[in-house]
Amino acid sequence: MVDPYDILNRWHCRRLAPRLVDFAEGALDMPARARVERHVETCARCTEALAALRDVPDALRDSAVTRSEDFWQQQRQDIMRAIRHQAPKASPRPLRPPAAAWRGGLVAVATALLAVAGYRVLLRSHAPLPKVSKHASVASVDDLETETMVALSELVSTLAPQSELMPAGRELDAQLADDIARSPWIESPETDDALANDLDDAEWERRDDLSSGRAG
Amino acid sequence: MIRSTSYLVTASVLALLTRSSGVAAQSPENRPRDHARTFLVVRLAEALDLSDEKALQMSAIIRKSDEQRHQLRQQRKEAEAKLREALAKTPVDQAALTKLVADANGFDQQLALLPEQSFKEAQQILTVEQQAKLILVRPELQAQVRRAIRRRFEPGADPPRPAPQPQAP
Repeated sequence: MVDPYDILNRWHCRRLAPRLVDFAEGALDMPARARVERHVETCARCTEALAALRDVPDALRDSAVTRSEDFWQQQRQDIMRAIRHQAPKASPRPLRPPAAAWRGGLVAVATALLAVAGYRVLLRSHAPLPKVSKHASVASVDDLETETMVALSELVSTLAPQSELMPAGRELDAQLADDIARSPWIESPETDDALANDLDDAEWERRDDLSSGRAG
Repeated sequence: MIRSTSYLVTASVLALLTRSSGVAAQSPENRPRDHARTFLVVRLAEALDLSDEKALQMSAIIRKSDEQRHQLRQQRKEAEAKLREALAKTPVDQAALTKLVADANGFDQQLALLPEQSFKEAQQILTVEQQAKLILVRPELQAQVRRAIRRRFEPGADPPRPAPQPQAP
């Protein structure tokens, strides 16, 4: 069974891992920084990765390395691509202001070396990651544990009126009509209780008789 | 869309992390309900393209509605027990039974009103486009859950069907 908590946490890792480099550099704006902080507080793996990123020797920071801005940009893109397993994008990431570029570049080259290795480990520990798409990002209902599935059924019933049991248009197909005809119990409070309380067969029969008008 | 979706998931995670009140505490017996709410919020956040803030608000609405439903169901169950007791007595106390019937019916009515209440609350935080999407996504969710439960409880009765194509908003 898929644990939604785990899925969401891995989702978060997937989204925030690329920002750990900037976070370690102190280059994130406040909202982004807060977002990463909140996640790192709850994720041991990202905490380790962040610790590795912050463990950049000062000597590396102090060494004078002269590279073009394109070099740094390419480094960043390579790291991001490795993290995301994505193809190169057509539009490059905006450059930093020139005044801060050299310092950011030094930090970037140092962190890049650690980041590539660190993230490979990180990504291995997170694999397989959920796909990032509208319909695949969340587990399917079928992936939920039975108890969660039943709870979801009850939860949805607090959002949708009973009249929507028979949706109009394309949803009203033979399959759905058959679902409704064969599974009226799913939406009934009695059945929810029965699922929760594991009623015995006699009680089921009694309730069936009541619902079908056979009760004397 | 990907960026937006990821923010929505963030909102849902935040909703999980910040849940703190009432029945929704992280006790093992409430875990399925917590998971279900998480699932629902993520689904709605995606379908309605909710911001972080709206996803959190939506999560609060769902939690409140769920807690009301839970409470009403308990009261309804208690009313059922009292009805059985009253019916078992001879002679039947008509006045007492009338009151119990009214009580039980009142719980049923309140349960039936929950979707309307939660939708009205959602209306206050959603744009009209999001409200429209919510109306469209509700029956789809219901159908998905119903089919999934049926597959779970009746293995082999119904092969999984391909997911429906998303509707244009």
